[in-house]
Amino acid sequence: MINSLSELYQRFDILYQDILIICKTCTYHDCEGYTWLLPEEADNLGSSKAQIIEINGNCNFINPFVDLIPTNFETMKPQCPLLDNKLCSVYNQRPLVCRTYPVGLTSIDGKLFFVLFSDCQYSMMMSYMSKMEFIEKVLDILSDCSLDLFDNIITTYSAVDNLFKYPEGRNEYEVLASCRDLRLVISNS
Amino acid sequence: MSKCKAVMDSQKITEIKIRTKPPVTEEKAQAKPTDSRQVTDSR
Repeated sequence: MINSLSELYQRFDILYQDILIICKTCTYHDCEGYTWLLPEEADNLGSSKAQIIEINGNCNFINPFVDLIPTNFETMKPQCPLLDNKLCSVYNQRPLVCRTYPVGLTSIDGKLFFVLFSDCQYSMMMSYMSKMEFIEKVLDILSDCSLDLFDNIITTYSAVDNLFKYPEGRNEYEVLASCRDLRLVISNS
Repeated sequence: MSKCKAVMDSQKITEIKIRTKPPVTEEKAQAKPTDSRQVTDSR
């Protein structure tokens, strides 16, 4: 069972080892948007060079507007300020949302789902069989989380999702599993 | 992390705080040499 965030990082890092090769040839824009953080990540990154903003007391993000005043949080796809010469300057401390991409969370009609985003070279290049295998491994990791850890992720994202809107539409994705179903699996294991 | 199209809905933002790094207190700063000496002694 995965009890801590660092263990979860480790499991995803192992699964994503092969993706890094493809990331190097990716032509999609990278590291854009509002990077949400788990409370523990906000504490850890807050002591690094990242500037953390806390919205409404329960949503933490890497502040993408360090040099921009006044700040407009409706700006589309701000670049992560921690990107340095196309490389992540806090790579070893990078948050879960960065580690799991193209897997991520999104809400559909008020319910939360883990999804596979399509705007990723790895997502696009995978054959049907390797995609099925990849999805199975992702779901294995998620269902191996302790209930506390899973709830921490879902509760945090739920607050973040309530804050978001999509004026230019959503990113394309395919649904992997509902958080409710995954939680049931974890509860029954 | 890639290019998420989400933006924050400014109408839902009621409070914004910039989190600052925890300050290094004088007490903590003085504690360091003692701590490292303890490590050295135990070796």
